Amino acid sequence: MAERVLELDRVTMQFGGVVAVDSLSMRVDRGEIVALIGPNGAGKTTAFNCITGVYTPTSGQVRYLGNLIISNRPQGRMKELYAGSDKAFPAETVVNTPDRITKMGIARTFQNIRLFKTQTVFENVLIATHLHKTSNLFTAAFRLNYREEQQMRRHALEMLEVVGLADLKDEKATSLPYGKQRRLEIARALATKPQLLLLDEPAAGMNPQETDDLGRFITGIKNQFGLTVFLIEHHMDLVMDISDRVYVIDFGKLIAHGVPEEVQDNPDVITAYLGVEEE
Amino acid sequence: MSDFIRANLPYLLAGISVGGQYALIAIGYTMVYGILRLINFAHGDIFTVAAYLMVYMNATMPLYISLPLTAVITVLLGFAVERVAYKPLRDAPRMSIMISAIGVSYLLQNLMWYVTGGLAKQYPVIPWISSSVTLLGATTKMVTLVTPVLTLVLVLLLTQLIRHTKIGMAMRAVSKDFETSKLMGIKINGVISVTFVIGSFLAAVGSMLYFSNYTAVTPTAGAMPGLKAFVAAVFGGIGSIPGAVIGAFIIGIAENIIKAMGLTTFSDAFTFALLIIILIFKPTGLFGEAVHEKV
Amino acid sequence: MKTVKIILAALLILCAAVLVIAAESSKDKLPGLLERMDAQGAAAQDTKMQKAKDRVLDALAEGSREKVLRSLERYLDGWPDRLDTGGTVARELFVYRNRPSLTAAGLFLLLAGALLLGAVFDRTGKIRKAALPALLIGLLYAGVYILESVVGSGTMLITVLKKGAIYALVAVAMNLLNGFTGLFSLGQAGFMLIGAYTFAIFTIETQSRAQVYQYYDGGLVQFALPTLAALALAGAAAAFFAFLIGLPVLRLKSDYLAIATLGFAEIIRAVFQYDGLGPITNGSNLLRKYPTFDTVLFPFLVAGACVAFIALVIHSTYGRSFKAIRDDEVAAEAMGINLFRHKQLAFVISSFFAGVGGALLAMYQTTVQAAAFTSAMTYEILLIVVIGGMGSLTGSVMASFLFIAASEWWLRFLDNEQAIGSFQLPLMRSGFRMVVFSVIIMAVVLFYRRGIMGDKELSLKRIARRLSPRKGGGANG
Repeated sequence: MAERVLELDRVTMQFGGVVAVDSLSMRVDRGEIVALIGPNGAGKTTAFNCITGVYTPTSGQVRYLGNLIISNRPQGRMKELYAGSDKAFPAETVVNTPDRITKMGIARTFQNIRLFKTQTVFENVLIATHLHKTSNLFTAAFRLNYREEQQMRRHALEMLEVVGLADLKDEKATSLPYGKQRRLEIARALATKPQLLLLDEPAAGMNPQETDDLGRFITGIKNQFGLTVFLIEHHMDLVMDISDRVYVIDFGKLIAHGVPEEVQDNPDVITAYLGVEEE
Repeated sequence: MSDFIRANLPYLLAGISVGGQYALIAIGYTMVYGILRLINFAHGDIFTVAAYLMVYMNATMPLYISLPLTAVITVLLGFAVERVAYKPLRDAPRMSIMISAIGVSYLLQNLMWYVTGGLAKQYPVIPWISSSVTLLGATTKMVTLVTPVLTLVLVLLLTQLIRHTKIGMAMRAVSKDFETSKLMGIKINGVISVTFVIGSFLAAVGSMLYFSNYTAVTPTAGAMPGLKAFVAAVFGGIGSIPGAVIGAFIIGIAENIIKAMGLTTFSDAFTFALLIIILIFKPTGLFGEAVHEKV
Repeated sequence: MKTVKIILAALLILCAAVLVIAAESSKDKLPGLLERMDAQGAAAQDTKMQKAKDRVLDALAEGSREKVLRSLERYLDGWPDRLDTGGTVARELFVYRNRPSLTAAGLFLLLAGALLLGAVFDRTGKIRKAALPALLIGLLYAGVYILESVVGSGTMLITVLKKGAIYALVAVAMNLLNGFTGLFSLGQAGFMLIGAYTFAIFTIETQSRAQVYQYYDGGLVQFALPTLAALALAGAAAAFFAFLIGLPVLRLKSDYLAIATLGFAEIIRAVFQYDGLGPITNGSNLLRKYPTFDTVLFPFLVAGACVAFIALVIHSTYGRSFKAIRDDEVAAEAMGINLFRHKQLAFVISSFFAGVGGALLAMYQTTVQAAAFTSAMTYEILLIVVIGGMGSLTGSVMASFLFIAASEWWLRFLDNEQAIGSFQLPLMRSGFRMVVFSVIIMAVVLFYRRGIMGDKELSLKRIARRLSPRKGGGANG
């Protein structure tokens, strides 16, 4: 059996009375490309935010490489509002902030691009190398860490070369065209040296040609860096092309799961996407 | 027992009274924050300007003219400050507009200093309001008793206005979601102006009550009550009018209890310590709502 | 080559340390020297000489440098063989007489050594690039020193330069927080107060303590630290308070942070005026009789070194993280940056230098009182930062000198009633200057929001590009 990289166990995210993610369980194995799809507002990004520590899920657990990284059960006011059945699950409480989760090896991109807008393309990637520094404030200020600094710069440049943005390194990040900004986000995520890469709609706003290229690119970096990839996507062609397995959610609930072909023909999925006909 | 009351009642009365005055200022802060997400640092100075207007106008006019005229000019000033200093920055980062507010505060203080020569002025005696009254053996000014009543009446009127009028509905909508209300055709600038008009009017009333009690008017006299009123607004949960009023009464009373204990130096510091404590344990204040940031 | 440079830098720094320590300790050595001179010469028995010597000691106790020098001159005149009193004595007296210049020279060498070290360790090809600006800064300092000796220390120009340098430091410190890290903090005056008081409390001469703390039996602290140590301690005290207050307040959203830090500054102001702490803080009374500076080079060097350090931090990987937090907190956290730790770091560094700035301000003013550190002071510094440009160090520095020059000097005439012929100019009277000044500031805030520099830095490259005849032809102008 392949090694489990990511495992979600009954993750629920509730905002007041609204259940955005409803008891979601899934897994991603090493070397896989797994897609999470679903109609708009199905709770895909919220699921990402629960994995990366931006939100603490109302209940449920997240494991990464077998270690419990997030675990929470309904607390305080949420005890009454919680819509799920098992209020005592799970027993442990583990909370990790996004930066710690990134340090563990999970990197992500954002659906609504979040680049550092006053910084150049190169600086955007360079910032993402900060988390592995060994220097302290003084060694960094007085440049006693020049070897490490050089390494950081080299690594950042390499990542830009990987995504093909090395010639634009001194441009302002926000001056890039949309597609290139998405690639820059990927370069930035790669610079944190992840094992698991979470991509939130990487093909949003791209034309079919660009989407094709992106598919090849994702498979390419997966092989080159030995990554595991978990992505949210709306472009079905891309999903069907590159993913090993697909999870489909609707209204926060898992409605289908399997290899792309199975999912494509699943009647529930078709209903979720096309809606139910009125009687 | 009666000795105890006689000794401590003045402090309690003063606390309730100053609490009511803070409440009137705090409403201006909390309404502006609710709509613009702006700490209007100039609000305390508008409060002081109202006091100076009263000082100068009362010297030449009868009370029944100077009092309403003060309110009108204060309201115009609040309106003008919003139009000149905040409206042009509607699309600027939040920090810029707060800096603009600080700039306005700086300008108003310097302007007042220039006009008055920096000397403290005596606030005019308003008949009846400034007269003495004895309650349970404690002597105090009439204003001490009038303030809480007047405050509650004004707050009641204001809540009715917000609940039942069209402009009130628009205000609630704008404070809930600025962008969407704009798309729904609400005239944002009109709503904001009305907010400043109401806030400034209440500050003018508050100024009349406050300075009838603490009669020395200096250019910076309003800075500290202004800050405290803001703390009261945060304490009650910024954006919430009842919260601001309750917060203001709590702070006013607590501050006077501290004074009664002989720790006058710390009465200001206490307010801010309270602020820091509430921000740590309940950052949304007593009645505030939590907001989730969209990622 | 590298080793040579390191050795050279180490030597420079060593010399600097020797010079500064020698100069700063010369005052304490003086009484001992006088004793030694007594022991050597017969003139010591002369009552006139004894009186002259006592005058020197009195002047020393009083702490007035000018008086000490004058009385010392008279005392030495009494010696028939004044230069034969032994080499050490003559040398020490020379050191005492030229103390400020020697300290300044020492700090110069320190700066040179540090620059050299920086050049050695900057392996990204910036050695030659850094050399020219360093040289220019050195020349600027030399220029200021010469200027002072030409126009005189008490002139308005030098006063503005002194105060401008101090404000430059506090503005840069505030910019690190508000402009570079995006934290809207309004506690600057509070941290300056802590710095100013820490400095004053630990440097008041022991002889003068009874007089300064007259209502508190001479106070609790009964020793005096050397000036530079006390400056560092001032910064450390402010930084320590920042660390403590940061634990709760740095978790707050931006505007709550602003009001909490403002509140903190008010609390500090009240606490330092509290009667119960009088034996330490002298209650609400003035603190005075602590070391001050008489040469403009002193604030220039201290502030210059501090600003240089802040600049180094900003250009390091930590500074990049600060800017990332400012641009997008969520993305920064997703890149593995620990938000709280980095905010805390920026807050502590900024407060450290605000503390040092406060101490310098105390030295400049010669007396210090907690009541003066109001929120208005914070607002002024914030406005300087805005005028210079949020996120521009050179902007803050330039704006500080402009702000101080305008408010203290150039606009002074507005405060005086003036007449052209027999026509009395209207409006011009006391207070008008500040009104005009605040109108100018409002105009900057409203219409010139990016300030002088925006978030760019003044650099030779930019100046060269501006001045080049091929104007507008640049590819990336």
